[in-house]
Amino acid sequence: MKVAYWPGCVSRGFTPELHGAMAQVAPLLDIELIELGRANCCGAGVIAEHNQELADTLNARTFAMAQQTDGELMMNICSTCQGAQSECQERLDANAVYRDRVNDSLSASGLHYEQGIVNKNFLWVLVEDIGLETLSGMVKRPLTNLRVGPFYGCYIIRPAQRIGIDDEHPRDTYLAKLIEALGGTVIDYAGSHKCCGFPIITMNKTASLKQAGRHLGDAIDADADCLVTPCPLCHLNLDLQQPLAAAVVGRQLGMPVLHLPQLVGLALGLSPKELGMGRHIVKPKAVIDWSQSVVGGVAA
Amino acid sequence: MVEPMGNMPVIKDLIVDMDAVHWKKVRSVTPWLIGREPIPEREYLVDREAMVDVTQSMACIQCGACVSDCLAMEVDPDFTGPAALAKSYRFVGDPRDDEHYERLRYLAEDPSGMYTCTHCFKCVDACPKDVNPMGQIMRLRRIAGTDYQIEDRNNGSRHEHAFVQNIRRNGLLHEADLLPDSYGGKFNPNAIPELLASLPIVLRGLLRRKITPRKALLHPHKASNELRALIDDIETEPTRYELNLYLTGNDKDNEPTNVATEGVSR
Repeated sequence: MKVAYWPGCVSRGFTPELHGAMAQVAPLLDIELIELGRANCCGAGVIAEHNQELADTLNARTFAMAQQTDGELMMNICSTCQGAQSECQERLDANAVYRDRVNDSLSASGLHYEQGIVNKNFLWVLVEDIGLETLSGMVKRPLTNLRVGPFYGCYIIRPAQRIGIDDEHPRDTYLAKLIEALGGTVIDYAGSHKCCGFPIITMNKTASLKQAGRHLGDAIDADADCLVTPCPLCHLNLDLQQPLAAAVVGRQLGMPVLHLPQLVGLALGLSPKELGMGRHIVKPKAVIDWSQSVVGGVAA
Repeated sequence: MVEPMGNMPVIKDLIVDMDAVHWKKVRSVTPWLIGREPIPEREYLVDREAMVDVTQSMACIQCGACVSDCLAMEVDPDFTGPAALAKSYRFVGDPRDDEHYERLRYLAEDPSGMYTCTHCFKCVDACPKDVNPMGQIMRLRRIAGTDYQIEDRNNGSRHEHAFVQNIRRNGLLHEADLLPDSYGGKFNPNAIPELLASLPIVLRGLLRRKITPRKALLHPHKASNELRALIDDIETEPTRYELNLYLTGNDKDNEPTNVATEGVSR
């Protein structure tokens, strides 16, 4: 399938391993990425809390660029982009007068947003468009005995109605279902659907790091080998800031956190190095050791 | 599973002490109208829309479900919390109230005030009356930071402005600038301890090639002139425009707006 691809900012900034991993994984899944190179930051909810019309216009600009491609849909690899863009889309799609106002602003850029774009996170594409059964059939290195804790990120699971969670689309369970489909063991722990704390890191640092530290500690207590997240901003608080979070909660942590395409790539046979796992602050040693033991097992 | 409400001390079985948390926080935000001077002899004359707008927060039945689910309160019990902040908006949004600025200043300066909300949407889903507490908190921030330009000691409004300026310059977020700018700039005395605290992480990021000097110091992305003009046009509008779906509802003849389950239309 061909998709208009919005990688977001952080995947090309402080989590470059995410952008690289997605580029490696896409061809294996037969996804053609048409990268929206000129599109802009989604605002991460911060621009909306400064000026709602500005956030809506900026995201309408990105949507309009996606609509100029021949992609089947727009795909992102960031929970925060998904949530922030869904919120703007809700307003743009609800009110024609408002949409005209925003399109007026965009007209100087030669762009126009048509109501009703389909914008999906990579996780949703995997489950809803590729299908978990098909994906299972592509697995070259089942994640047998790898104990993985899902970490969703708030923006991709709440508010349920806007995010499109219903009986047919239980999107708040997709990560667990995906880990199972890849052959891994899903770790149930208290923090899987909670907030990583990143949005308040500059406003209330202690509370922010306490959130990250607690979730990582809960995953350790549940015996997880690693966490996996579809959100690079969660990754910043859970991985990049993990040494500071450990100091705040007063315990040793050392819990590796994988990006979603890295976990998928691992199961599709890519090596931890190809997936950029050497670039994490907390080296995913348990995952690298596991991948080597599997290769060793196959060779023996 | 049936369990007592969260974030409040359990008295016995399923009974929690709402007075110690929920009501205490509601009382802390001066939950009554302070009439705007001069107080009219008869009634205030106000826009209908402004009053319909505050009816959303007035719909709160003080059940405490949002307080129970609040994830920020789990780690910071002093956080004012969603119910009390929604109650604040009920008065900040009310044109008859005389102390909008004072209310906002108090909530902005409190280290566990409105800038401790993490945007997790838990309260939005927990509320049985569609009060949308988080939405009301975002409005408080918008009015404080953008309309009243209240500079708070928690970096709340500075972070917002730094973010917008960052996107205006770079098109994409340049994280290496955002942290110091949120603290007032690289050479601001408030930023220095933060930057020093981050130094071991920055060094490790450099060693692991997560962060490259080129990316951190130079600005590989630049916003196009077209994007800057778009941002400037909206930022310089004489009045900030805000669509309130609570007032307008959805267009009757529109398709349902379920974001990602419908077909593409171009």
